[in-house]
Amino acid sequence: MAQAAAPEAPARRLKLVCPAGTPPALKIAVDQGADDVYLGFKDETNARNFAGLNFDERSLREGIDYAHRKGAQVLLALNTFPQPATWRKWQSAVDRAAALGVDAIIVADTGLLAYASRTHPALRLHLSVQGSATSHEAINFHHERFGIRRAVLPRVLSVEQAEKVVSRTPVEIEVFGFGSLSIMVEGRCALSSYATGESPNTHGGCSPARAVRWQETPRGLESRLGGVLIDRFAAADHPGYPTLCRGRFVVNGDTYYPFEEPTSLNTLELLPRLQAMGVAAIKIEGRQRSPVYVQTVTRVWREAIDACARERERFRVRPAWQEALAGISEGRQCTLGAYHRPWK
Amino acid sequence: MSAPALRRLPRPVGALARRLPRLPASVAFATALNLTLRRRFPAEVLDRLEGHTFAIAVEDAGVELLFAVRGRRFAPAARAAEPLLRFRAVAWDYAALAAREADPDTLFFNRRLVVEGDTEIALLVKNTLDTIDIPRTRGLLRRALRALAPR
Amino acid sequence: MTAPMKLALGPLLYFWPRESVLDFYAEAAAWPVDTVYLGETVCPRRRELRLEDWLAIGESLAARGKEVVLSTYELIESDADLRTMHAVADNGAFRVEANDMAAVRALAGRMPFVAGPFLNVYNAATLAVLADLGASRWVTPVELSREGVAAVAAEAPAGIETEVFAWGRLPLAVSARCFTARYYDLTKDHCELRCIGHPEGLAVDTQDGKPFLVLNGVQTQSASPQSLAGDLGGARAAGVTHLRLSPQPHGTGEVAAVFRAAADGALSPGEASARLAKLHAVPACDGYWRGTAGIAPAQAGHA
Repeated sequence: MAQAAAPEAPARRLKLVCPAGTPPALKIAVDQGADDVYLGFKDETNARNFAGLNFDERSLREGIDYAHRKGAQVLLALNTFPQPATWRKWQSAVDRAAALGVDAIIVADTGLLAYASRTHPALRLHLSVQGSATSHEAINFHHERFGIRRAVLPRVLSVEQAEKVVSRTPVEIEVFGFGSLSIMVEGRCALSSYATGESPNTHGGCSPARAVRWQETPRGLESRLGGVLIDRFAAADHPGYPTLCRGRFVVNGDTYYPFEEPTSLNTLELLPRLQAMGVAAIKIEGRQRSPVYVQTVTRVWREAIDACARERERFRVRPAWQEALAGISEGRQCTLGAYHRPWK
Repeated sequence: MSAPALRRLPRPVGALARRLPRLPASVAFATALNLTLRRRFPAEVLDRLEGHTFAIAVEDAGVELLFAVRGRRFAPAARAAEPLLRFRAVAWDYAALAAREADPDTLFFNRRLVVEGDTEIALLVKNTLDTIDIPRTRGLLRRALRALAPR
Repeated sequence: MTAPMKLALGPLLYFWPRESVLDFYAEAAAWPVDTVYLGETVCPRRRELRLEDWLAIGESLAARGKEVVLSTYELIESDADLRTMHAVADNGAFRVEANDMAAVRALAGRMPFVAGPFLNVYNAATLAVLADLGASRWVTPVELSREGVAAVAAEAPAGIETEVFAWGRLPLAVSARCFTARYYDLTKDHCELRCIGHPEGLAVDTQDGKPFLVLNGVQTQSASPQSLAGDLGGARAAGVTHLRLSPQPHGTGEVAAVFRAAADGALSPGEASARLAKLHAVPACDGYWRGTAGIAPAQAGHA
């Protein structure tokens, strides 16, 4: 107690990076205290290219105004891989982003990074998680060649591995804190296009809705993707969206989830460690989710990050936070993902 | 916001609602849609819905509201062919969704909101509704829900 | 008249006992393949062969006239993985296939390298960056269609070679998790190297009984082999210089013989596809090549 009054240098505050699939989600995220919001154009230049989602130029301009008035930054995701026939569309998206005054673009494609760094040297570049940079050497490559300022770590590394990356790169490191969990290395998964012809890399979406079919059958509710049976649900089950890696299949006669049960990532309890190791930003997944989701998750994480900055080692996760997050999680079950590896 | 407890209409209300004729309810619903949502739905979204029938089944009321999109307007529909989309939930959950008190995905994961039919159109509708800012209407709904909430 | 397309034996994606690997490459020396990719690319825990062993295999293959390329990991996580990658990059004897940007960084400006299929080269701008750093060949991502390959190849810097995945189960995804260990309810660090008991991986079927995927440790593959045997003319027209054949426990030599004959015009696309069909229990696919779902059945002899 005697030391409690001794002034300490304030810990560098973790930035909270929140998803905005729609203008109301952007406003709610900013109102609830997001430091950065990330969003995409209404097309396949970003990895959440879903019908009805995302921003056109007008709503983006309004969104940037709103965020900047309240001190938040806007990051534009251009994190899919352009092909020759569509290259100009991505190139023009970079140009429009620069002209509209976004605070950074989040890019995965090497050619597009080269174009952006050459053409818009003042535009801040973030390396997308789709860029699959899993080591400090891969991240430093992008820093040396394209001057990236921040990199989003793929969700495959343990805390120890993430810590090593942070300590060996001049680039800010952003890690995923909460949301739907990808168990494959981002940018290295073609399961969706194998069944449907469209993947995050090529079309900005995994398991596109046009390829999804739900059907009530005598054996239960069946979900199919591109005609492939992904799962069957009994009445008591909680059906997940038919993403391939969350399906139930048969291996040597055993029917189970060969990849993973539907779960959500939740790293609240790692906050003190992430802060201490010098992680720059925590990313919340979910541009496809509703404003209600964004509101809840932003509020909880804002409170938690602020509490962690004040309390440091004394920081404890509040049960009310976990309860709130559990209520909006897919699959009702949260894990620490790869950060803590019970499966390792 | 954890998933709220399931709240059903009191049984007498449900029984009463079941006796009401379906078409007038659908007429009233389509009118309400035209008043609150039509102008906020982008034309290209209405065009995607054009000519299709949609069903909103209010399970505890035993009511199914049927409407179609014709000429970029919502119109009541009689029972006809299978609708392109059918939503099933209880009245309370619909109201909570409209008030932005509940998250549609959460209700879906818990099978409180069941969606049958074309998934892409369902996502389009969900995402479009998410883009619509009608704070006054949502605020009113929210207050009504709080007032009605069983203690 | 351009040069005939070359055949490349891709890296061995499965975990086989040491003797099986040595036997496989001793046989491969006699197959009509021009290039052989060597080394462990899937899982750092698989250590039946050390780098010295791979180099020795490489030397014997090189002595038989093969071009030898050493491949790096497709996923690097730990410091040990990085050290292995650097040892491969610095091997001093053979060209290297870089499968992540850390490997590209290690090779850049030092020696010509192969830009591997996991570098996500979807456009000419990306290929130009890699060529600038020393890439002399690129292996297309599995998702890229014939039109996509042709368009990138058309704008490629002069002299760059183009390799496509022409035969075998497609490597579709990689994870930090091991799905073979998961099947056995083992953790990854105590996996007991169970994948060595599955020389072709573990078959994953749908609940309605259709072959779908294959678990190969941290890698997930297609159950159907992709076959471009029906469209080698199209591949050549698209600018493809190398056809990658992925090793399988049985019949890889026959696969090479069929592709050699088909590429030389001695076998029609239909005949080639018919002979290949006998070598695999699951019918072939080629949807990616045609710009659709990868799983779509191969169209033997399509235009």
